Amino acid sequence: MSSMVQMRPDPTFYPSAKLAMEAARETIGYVALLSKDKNAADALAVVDLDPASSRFGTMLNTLVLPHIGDELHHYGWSACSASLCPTSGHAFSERRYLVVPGIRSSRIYIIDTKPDPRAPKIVKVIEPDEVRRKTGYSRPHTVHCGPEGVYISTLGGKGVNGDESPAGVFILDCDSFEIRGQWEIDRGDQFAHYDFWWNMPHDYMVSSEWALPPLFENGVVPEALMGGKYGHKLHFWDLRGRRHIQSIDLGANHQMALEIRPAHEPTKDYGFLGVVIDNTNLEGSIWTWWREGGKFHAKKTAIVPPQPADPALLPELLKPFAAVPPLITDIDLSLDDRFLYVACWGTGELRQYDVSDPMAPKLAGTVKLGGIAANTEHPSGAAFHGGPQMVEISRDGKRVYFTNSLYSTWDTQFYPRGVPGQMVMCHADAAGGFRLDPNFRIEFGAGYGAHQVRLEGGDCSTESFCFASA
Amino acid sequence: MMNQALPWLMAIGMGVYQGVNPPVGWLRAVARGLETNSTRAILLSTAALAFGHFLSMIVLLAPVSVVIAVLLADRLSMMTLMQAGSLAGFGLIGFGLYKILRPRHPKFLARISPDRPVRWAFCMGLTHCGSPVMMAPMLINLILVSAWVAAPSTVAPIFGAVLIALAVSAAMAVPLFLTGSAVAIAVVRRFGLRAITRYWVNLDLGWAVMFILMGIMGLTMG
Repeated sequence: MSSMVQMRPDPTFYPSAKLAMEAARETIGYVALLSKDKNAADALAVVDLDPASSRFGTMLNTLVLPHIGDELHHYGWSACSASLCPTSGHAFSERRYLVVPGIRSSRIYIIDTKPDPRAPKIVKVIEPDEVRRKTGYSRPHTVHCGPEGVYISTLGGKGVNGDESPAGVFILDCDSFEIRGQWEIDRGDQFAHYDFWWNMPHDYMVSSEWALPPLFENGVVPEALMGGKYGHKLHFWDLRGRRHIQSIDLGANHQMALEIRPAHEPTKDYGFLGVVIDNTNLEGSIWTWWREGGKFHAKKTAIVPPQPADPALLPELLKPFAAVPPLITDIDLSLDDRFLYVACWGTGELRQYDVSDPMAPKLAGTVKLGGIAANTEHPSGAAFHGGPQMVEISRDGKRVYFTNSLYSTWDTQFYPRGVPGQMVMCHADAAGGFRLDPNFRIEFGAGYGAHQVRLEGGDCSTESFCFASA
Repeated sequence: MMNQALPWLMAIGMGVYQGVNPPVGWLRAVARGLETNSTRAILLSTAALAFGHFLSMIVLLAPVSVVIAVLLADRLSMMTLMQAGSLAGFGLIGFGLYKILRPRHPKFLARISPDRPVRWAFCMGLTHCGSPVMMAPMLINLILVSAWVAAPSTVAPIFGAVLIALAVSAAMAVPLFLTGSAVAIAVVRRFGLRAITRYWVNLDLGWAVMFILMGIMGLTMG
């Protein structure tokens, strides 16, 4: 099945962020669908994003998985712009296969998007036993294409509960899709894991921590949250050397350090991190991390406050607080490194920060939709359940898509009435500010929750570059 | 005996070919040039790539030249050597076919830090490109020719053979440096990054075919 070597680089491999922004816009997208029915399988949806198409803004197709209980979450391409890096050796691979892990089952699907991107097919399934046996990890999560092939982060280690050994990153061969084993040679004090990304020419990786599986698989554990037991560290690694260099403890009140978004411009040595909740005041926070003088640093540069609410409107979990925490569960950075989008899944708000000065993010726009207490309707008049969650920005920065589901058991805790999957689109202005498109709203049906979006030809959370924009 | 100029022209041609080949000749130099906006950084980078490639040649060709010089001491082993040289043709054809069937870089190359271009180019030249392997039959030929031409008493055979190995390696590395620098500067200063994807064709395939042709040449001329 390994892909044929091409004679030219894939036209969707872009040398720089600027060239990625100038390339043709996306005409389709993929959305991970999570079955609400425990007896039905998850699916990958194909959605039409081509405004010239008669089916624009509708679901074109679904690929239903052959197994039940995978819990699709994040996924990515087996090859991307990183393949053009000077020493990569993968310049003649194709942006063709999606690597799609199930975080509950630990199963990994390799899905072929050619010849017809609107009708993807499963070409390989890596069974959970093989993942566990060859990596010592479980619950695969974030997927990035990079120098050594496909890097996949995991949320669990060994044992039934995945908490008997550290979680980490493993490598999948980007041609044969054979597992090559653990990535880390020296993991330092790292144990829990969540997201990771890198600066390839400057040769470092940054990773974050959610929690070990017992603290999330059956829902958030309030005592553990109040006790500061969720992840609160950033880790910095030697990317080619596979060694832990440094960790930064954000303080135990900063619970759940999730998305890592480095600047796309490889000359910039900084990036961002979203922290879900401060257990002392329910705030969500944005952190800026940077490298200076051979050391890494991190600082809280923006906060989103909780909103007081009538306890009668709140789920059991939040009643004692009489407030809704913003719950920053995803962040995404535009390719020009100018706008950082911050999903506040609890309060039902997507914030746009101008991060031209990365040390001082400025709120430039906001879109309100859904929310635990706010329940803001879509401008079309339709109800929106859940809140803005997985965000994906088009390469040109003009469109921002988002879905509404976080994670099955957490959806139930925070939105007991259910979170039927939806995807909406916003239009962003070049100078800042953005708004919902009243005509774009895709429903995936009451049986499915919707999670990560991937855009044709790569997007802001898949592409990393080795060349500075000239 | 082949034309004496041919091995040198081959080495120069190989250097130009790999100088044009983006990863071997100039890709890293473009990245450095864009990051620093400095022609000096571009040239330092192409020089590092070419020097690493030079080392990968000499590390194999120098010992080979010593062995040849030692064997040249008597006529009998010299005949064996000529037969071995032609047999090496099969080796080249095999390597070329392997490159066509398994075109990927050896995986360990991706573990080398981008801050170590000499190391990377050295490993790349020795393994993925196989440049010294391609040049080895030519080197054998050159040393044999020089041994016949030179008066045995005037040149210490081992020293002379190593000199030829050095010269052959330089004959590839210098054009590699010049071509790589020219392309890198042209991309950074004139054509822009878009040229990378616009003009980059898979040169590895042509390189593999060259191995097969060199092998056939070795066999037919042996």
